[in-house]
Formats: sequence, C-alpha cells, structure tokens
Amino acid sequence: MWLSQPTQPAAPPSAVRTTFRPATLSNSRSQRDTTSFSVEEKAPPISALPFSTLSITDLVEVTTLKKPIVRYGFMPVPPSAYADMKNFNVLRAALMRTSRIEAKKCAQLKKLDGFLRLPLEIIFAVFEYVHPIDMYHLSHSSLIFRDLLKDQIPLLKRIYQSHGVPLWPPKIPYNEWSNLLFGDSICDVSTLRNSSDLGLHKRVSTIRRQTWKNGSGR
Amino acid sequence: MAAPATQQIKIRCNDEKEFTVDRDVLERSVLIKNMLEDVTEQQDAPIPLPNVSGPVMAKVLEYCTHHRGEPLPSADTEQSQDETRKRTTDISEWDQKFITVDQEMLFEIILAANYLDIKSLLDVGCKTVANMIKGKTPEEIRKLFNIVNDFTPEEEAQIKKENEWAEDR
Repeated sequence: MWLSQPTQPAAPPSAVRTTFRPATLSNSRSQRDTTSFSVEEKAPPISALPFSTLSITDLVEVTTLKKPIVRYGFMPVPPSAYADMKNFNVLRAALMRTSRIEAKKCAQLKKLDGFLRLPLEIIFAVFEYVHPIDMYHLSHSSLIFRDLLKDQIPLLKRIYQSHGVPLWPPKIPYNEWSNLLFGDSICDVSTLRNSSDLGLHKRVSTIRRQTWKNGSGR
Repeated sequence: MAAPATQQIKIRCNDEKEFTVDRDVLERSVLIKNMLEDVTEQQDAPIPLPNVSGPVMAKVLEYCTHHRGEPLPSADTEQSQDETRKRTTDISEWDQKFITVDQEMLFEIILAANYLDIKSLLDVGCKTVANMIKGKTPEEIRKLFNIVNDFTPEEEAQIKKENEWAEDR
C-alpha cells in the first residue's frame, strides 16, 4: 500500500454514498466567508467520509479558521491547535475537531490513571462508546492498549458499524484500513509528506473500487 | 411477591453503614431486585452489600432516587436500542452534574453500578470515561492514563503495516 491518504471507501458505493455528506464542507465554507465564526459555534457535522469532494482548502478550513500563514512546500499548514492533527488528513482533522468540541461540554478529569486497574469488562464497556478514530489513537499510544485491542475484531466491527464508518474490505486487514482512514498522509515508500494528490486518489480509488467490485463478491 | 410501594428495605455496606431505602428505589438495582424476589422472609435483617462502601452507596442511591419510577430496560428493548445507544455519548444534564466527581469516586460508582447491575448508571459512567478519551491524540491519551510510549522506533514503523492483526473473518 503505497498511498496512505484515505482512498475512496470501497464498500458498496451507492449504499455508502448515501451516508456521505459531501456538501457539508463546501456549505460551511460559504458561510464562513460571510460571517465570523467561532469554534464553539459549529463544527461541520462530518459523520462519514466525504473524500470525493474534498480539496486542500477544506483541510485548512476544518483545521483552522484563520488564514494559513505557514507553508510547507506548496501546502499551507494550519497555524492553530489543530496543526497537531497535521499531515493533511482531512477526515482525521475534521473528526478530531468535532469530538473535541463535543468533549468540551462534558465533565473532564486531568488524570485517569486508575482506568487500567478497572476490570477488563468495564474497560471494554467504555470502548463501546468511543469513535473508531479514538480506537486508532489508543492502539497507537502504548503497547498496553495495542495488546488489549489486538484480538478485539468483533468489538472494532461493532464500533465501526455503529458510527457509520465503512468496514475494512476483504483482503485489507483492520490495521491497514484504519491507518488509511485515520493515519498521517505520508507516502509509505518515499516517506514524503503531503503526498495527497486528491486527483490521483480519485483515479486510484476508482480502479480499486472496480477491482473490489469484480473481485470479491461485495 | 406483591409488596406495597412504600416498603422500606435496609441495606448494609461493607463499612457497616446502613441505609433504609424505599423498595422501588432499591429495585433500580437488578441484583437487589432479584434478591428481594427470592427472599420473602426475614425482612428485618439488612441486605449485606460487601462490595460497596457507604459514601459510594449514598451516591448511587442519589441516582436511583432521582430516576425512580422510570421503566427498567428489559432485555428486548435493550436489544433494539443497542444500535442507537452506542452511537451517542450524550448524557442528560442531571446525570452530567451527578457524575462530575473525582476519579476515585467515578470508578467506584462504575464498579458499584456493575456489581449492583444498574445498567443506566453503568452507561453514564462509561460514557463519561469515553468522553474523556474522545478526540485525544495518542500523546494526550498517554498523559491522561499516565502511561509511556513504549514502542521502539521499529515497532512504531511496523505498526502501520503489520498484518498479524486479524484478517477480515
């Protein structure tokens, strides 16, 4: 897998497409031009994967509300807290922003170090409620979580399905799929950043989609 | 057993603290509900709850009192609601205030809810913890749980590609 930017999701295109909201981003763009917009007010309600209509301006918009001032090559880097969500993965940035805004409304503790001492059944009961992207981040935070989540494919499937994220297609293992969706947009071969040529994606993912369609009975 | 709604039940926690509570409040706990249905005699003796301490029980009873009279989720409705229930981590305003406690108390409440089998309270607790995990980067997660990044650089590179993580079946 040389392309680590999220590709067009494979699963039955028509079915998945209906849950997409490709218009969301462009709508919010036009709103933002006219009104000043505070982060608390509204987050683009991105529940699925709007890749087909995304461009790099969308990334800048979901990650920051200011105009980009830093540049990396030809790519603008958002000069905000969300620059941390970096590496030009639009979906990741949008999801993180949405859930951060949501999390602000809830009780927050600085430390939860007792969590791992809880019984496993409760730990997994908690995981039922987090988003797939959080599972991805958990398994990348430490070996503890990675080992904990390693054999939890049924749990992961449930989480993906309940959040409307397309499941990994046959022949693509979970970790590769989650990395495609939520990982950095870095070319695996050349380790070049900002390898996200969305036009190329579209072409590649069209081919892949056709291959999947013909190949594996999905 | 058809008991009057105002029947008072005594419970005793592991620190010898005793509570006298209305039966319908206590029956939010499926564990106690089943106990009461099984045992018809010796109504005077307090029910021992060796896994719950007094302060936690007081908190749990506060929850049960506020939610008394609400229908208990049966197995059927639970099945059908499961799908939508998991998608949202919304917590009602009262529950939100109720669960704003320190870490120890939060975990004690979750454990007590699990032991006493109070599904809705367990949900509130789990959602609260889940909300703290949500939207965090791996680095922030490490800070939250006080764990270290113990991946070697090779592992970190490999974690993206490894295929031992189950295939799709």
